[in-house]
Amino acid sequence: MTASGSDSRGNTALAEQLGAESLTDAGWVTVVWDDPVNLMSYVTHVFSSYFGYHREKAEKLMLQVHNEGKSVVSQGTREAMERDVNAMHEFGLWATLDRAE
Amino acid sequence: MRGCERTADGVLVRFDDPEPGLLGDLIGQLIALIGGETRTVGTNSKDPFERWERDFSSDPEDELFEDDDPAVRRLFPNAIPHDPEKSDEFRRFTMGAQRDTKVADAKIVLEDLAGVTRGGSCQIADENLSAWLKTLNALRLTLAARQGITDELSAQEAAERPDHDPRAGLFLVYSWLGWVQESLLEAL
Repeated sequence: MTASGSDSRGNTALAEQLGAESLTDAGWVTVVWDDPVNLMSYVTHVFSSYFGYHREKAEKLMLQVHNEGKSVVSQGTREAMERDVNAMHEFGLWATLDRAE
Repeated sequence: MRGCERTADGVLVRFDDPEPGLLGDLIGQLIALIGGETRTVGTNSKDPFERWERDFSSDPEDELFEDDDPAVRRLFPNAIPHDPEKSDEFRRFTMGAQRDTKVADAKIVLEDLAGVTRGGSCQIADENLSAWLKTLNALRLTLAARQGITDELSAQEAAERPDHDPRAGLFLVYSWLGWVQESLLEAL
């Protein structure tokens, strides 16, 4: 009988294959940048409709983008943030993927 | 446009006479810019392998992600600016679907515009509102790029161009699209 998980090398290889580290590492963020085109009301709408944020939080993030030039709008695994960045691009927002500070 | 109002299952937009035609023309140009018409053979396919083959087999040099048109670059932004290799990889995986989604959204708006009444009324169903907002936004991004709008200063310059400058007309259309988008958002 073989105890599962006794071969640490095998487990490491499997973890790499499955990208296990990237599935649990929530140190990634979606950053939305200010641009002179998108309407403030539209950006607020995107944050509340896509992320499900309450109106106050969506407006706060929108104002941060507007006043400070950018805002971190979500944090999570690399895969989740790639989905969010992709969704922001679908809406026409200027979004990038980055490591959490 | 005379405004938007909430109805039981969507939003009613009241256009003035030349507006639906103008909007339809702009959307036709947007679809051509994104490449929707030249790529319809693979786009209609439900087979994911055929779509992947389409996305991977073409020469990157011919693809939009190498495009030097600022409008296209703004519609498909660089996701990881500090890592060009990863950014290209991201674009390679998302570009095909991004393009298909934008074209599909644009076509939804065209279908709604085809139903505009003689009086200029356009009924937009709730499930089509997202496609409208995204398409209006894509048009604004494209027209902004055509006027060189990249920041607050260039936006201000665009607003102050004299009437004889051909770009002044673009600014009028750009502002009108913003008004339509704002009115739709208020009616949600």
